[in-house]
Amino acid sequence: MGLMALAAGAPSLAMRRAGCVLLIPARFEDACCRGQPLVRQFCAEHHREKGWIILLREKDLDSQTKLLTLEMTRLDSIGTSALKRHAISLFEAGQDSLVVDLHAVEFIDSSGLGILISLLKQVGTRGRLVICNLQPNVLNTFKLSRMDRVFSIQKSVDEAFESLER
Amino acid sequence: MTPKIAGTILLDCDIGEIRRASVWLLDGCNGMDPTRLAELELAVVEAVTNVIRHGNIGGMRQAIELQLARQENSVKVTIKDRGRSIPEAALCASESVLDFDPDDIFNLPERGLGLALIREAVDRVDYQAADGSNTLLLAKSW
Repeated sequence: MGLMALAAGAPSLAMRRAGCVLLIPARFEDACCRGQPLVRQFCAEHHREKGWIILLREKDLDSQTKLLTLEMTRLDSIGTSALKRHAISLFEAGQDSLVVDLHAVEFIDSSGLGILISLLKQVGTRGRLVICNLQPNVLNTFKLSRMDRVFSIQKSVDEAFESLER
Repeated sequence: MTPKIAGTILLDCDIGEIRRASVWLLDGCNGMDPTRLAELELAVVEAVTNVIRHGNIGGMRQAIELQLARQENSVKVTIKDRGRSIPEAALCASESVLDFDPDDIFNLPERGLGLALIREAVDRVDYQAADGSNTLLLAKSW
């Protein structure tokens, strides 16, 4: 059973109210990771709350703007397809603008960049996508890929939100 | 100075293995400048991901061999596999994929960034494909 096959599992209403929207049930962790010790390690890095491993938190900053806080430490080929599906579903549901908080992300590769580029295209001219709280190595990858010229990058969630209002 | 082989690891052709490659690299490069090490890690992850995603022949899960060699002021990572070679067109495209117009959002590259990032992240890249075997050498000063 694949890791992401379980990511769409339904968390409790209380967990949803707390803004935890993309989760893996911790009790399925062994099943998710069977034969893949490093995927197990990946899961172990993540926070646990009431038996769920949280990959993403979600909060409305205003009626048009949603904050997505990634809780995953690595944005690479593993475990990112559910994140992409979820974020795209927000736009399909009429979301205008997104602030993506990458504070926990220590490593990003071309797969992770590809997801953000895909989101940027989804936003298009309808709204805006701002990313913030980039760790130095993550910012360096944006510079290496020249994506620092493409994305609006802010230091904090507050600055990101303010930049949307300008 | 003759390169000192610091370690070798065999990876399964499974996407979960990229994390094992990272841990192995970080262990083997202890003491390297953190920013340069992060760039080397990026290049290795991209290279291994490429082999796993695109190099598999007919679903055969060929092993990938990584070798780390340290010199006084540099480190070399050699990645060997027996899967599909990188197409010449992809190698050529990687030279220009980052020459995009940052204002033309809808034509930004979503794929093909991996090889270009490898070029940007390390000081030297050598690639050879011969006799059913592929060898990618990544070199980075310490």
